Amino acid sequence: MPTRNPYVRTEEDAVIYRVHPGSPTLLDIDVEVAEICVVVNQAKMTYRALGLVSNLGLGQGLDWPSLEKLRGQLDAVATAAHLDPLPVEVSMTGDELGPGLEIDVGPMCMYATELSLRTSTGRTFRELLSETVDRRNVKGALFALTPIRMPAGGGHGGMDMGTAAGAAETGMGHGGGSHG
Amino acid sequence: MDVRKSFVELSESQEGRDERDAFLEAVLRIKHSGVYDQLVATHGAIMKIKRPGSSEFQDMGHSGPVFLPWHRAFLKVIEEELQKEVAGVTLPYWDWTEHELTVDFLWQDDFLGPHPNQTASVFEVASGYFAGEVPPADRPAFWPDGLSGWKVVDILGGGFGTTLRRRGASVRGRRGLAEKSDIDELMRAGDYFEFRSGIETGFKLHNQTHGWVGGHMGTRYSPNDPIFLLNHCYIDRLWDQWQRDGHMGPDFYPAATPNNPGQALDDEMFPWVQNPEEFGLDSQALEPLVEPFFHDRVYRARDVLDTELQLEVSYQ
Repeated sequence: MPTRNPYVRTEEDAVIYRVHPGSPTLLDIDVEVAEICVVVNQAKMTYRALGLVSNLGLGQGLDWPSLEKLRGQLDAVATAAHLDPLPVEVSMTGDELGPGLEIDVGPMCMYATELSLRTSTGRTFRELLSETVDRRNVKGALFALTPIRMPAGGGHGGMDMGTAAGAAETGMGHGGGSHG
Repeated sequence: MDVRKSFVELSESQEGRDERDAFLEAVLRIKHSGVYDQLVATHGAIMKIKRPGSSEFQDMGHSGPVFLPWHRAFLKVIEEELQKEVAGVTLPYWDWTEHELTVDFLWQDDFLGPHPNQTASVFEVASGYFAGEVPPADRPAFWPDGLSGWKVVDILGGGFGTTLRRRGASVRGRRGLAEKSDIDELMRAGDYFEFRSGIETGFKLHNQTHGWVGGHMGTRYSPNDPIFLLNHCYIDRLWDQWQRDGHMGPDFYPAATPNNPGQALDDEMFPWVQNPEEFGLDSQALEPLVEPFFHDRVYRARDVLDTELQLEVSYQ
């Protein structure tokens, strides 16, 4: 009997993943919904961002301009356990090996952060990805997000309140939150 | 044997005493005495601590196997402190699936105070017994003399200041509390990793419930909000249930934890260790608050695997 995948839930209007040490490292975004939620456990302690990975490359049109276009059509909001929802950055990365795209996971959070990624047009992610690359001649195209670890020593050292932006958003300072 | 009940089962005991009020009285009394803040500090301390011989801070109470036994031991210590103030009192648990009573009974001013059943921004708790200032006219008969309200200690505020904070959320829906099906799925876990990681990080379970309450409950000093006690009591009850469903004993806890040093079956759990001074806290300000628990007892995961036989606690 097939068992339910404990790391993903599919709802009518969203796909929801959870990320924690030991969870799968590829989160499929080639889906027929306009919202992908990722429950990131211990954001900015264990995980820094989510990065786009694909088995397609420049030859299939996955280049800087197309990724820039994709980036411009994504809205990302992080709701950390302790704070109000905050918009987070979707940024271009990459180097001579090729372009990349990363989604910030929001403020440092001891518990779970819900990262909501939506297409700004309301189209599904599959539609958006089909506009990004030409996959008519590609069999088994893969588009996924992968959790990116905090650098060694980068976690567990900051503020309880998360980023300065987080504190500013809620009108609260950092008093008592910093433990060098 | 101490018997822990669901918050919905709290009732008048044989002595005619309201169990909810007895619990609240004990909580307010240890807040007034300062013990509650020592417990808050202890939880904050273990989230960022250096083990003897290690140069890295690590969380010795979460995100690893020790999550369940550490919190079980913590609850036992808390319960003993409550019983010093009100004999026979036990911790109630918050069954997350009791959605209606969570709204109508738990989050009321005569229990844990406000938590709007709708999406709302982070707010200060301004009414009920856990407001920063409780006017004398609003204080119940059991209110401790000299206590003015529920003040969060500044260094334990997680950046939120000295008044308790929460964030409103609907009990139902995708961002709501767990449904029975979520619990049923968890209880089908076949091994300890699956159960522990499931209950800690699973959909709508421990970590997300901290976030559902929001505010202080989302920080390392989450016990500032007394819902922490009921929340973790439910988690412990679920572990107890899972254990009694064929997963009891040391065969269902890792004897070695190479990915999580210091969290194996026979590793001592800070602060209940033989040599607590060898551990390093990340803030000197926490030390005087945590020290009262030094040299009190030694707890390893092995010592808390069976609530009834080892801790004389059972769940109703």
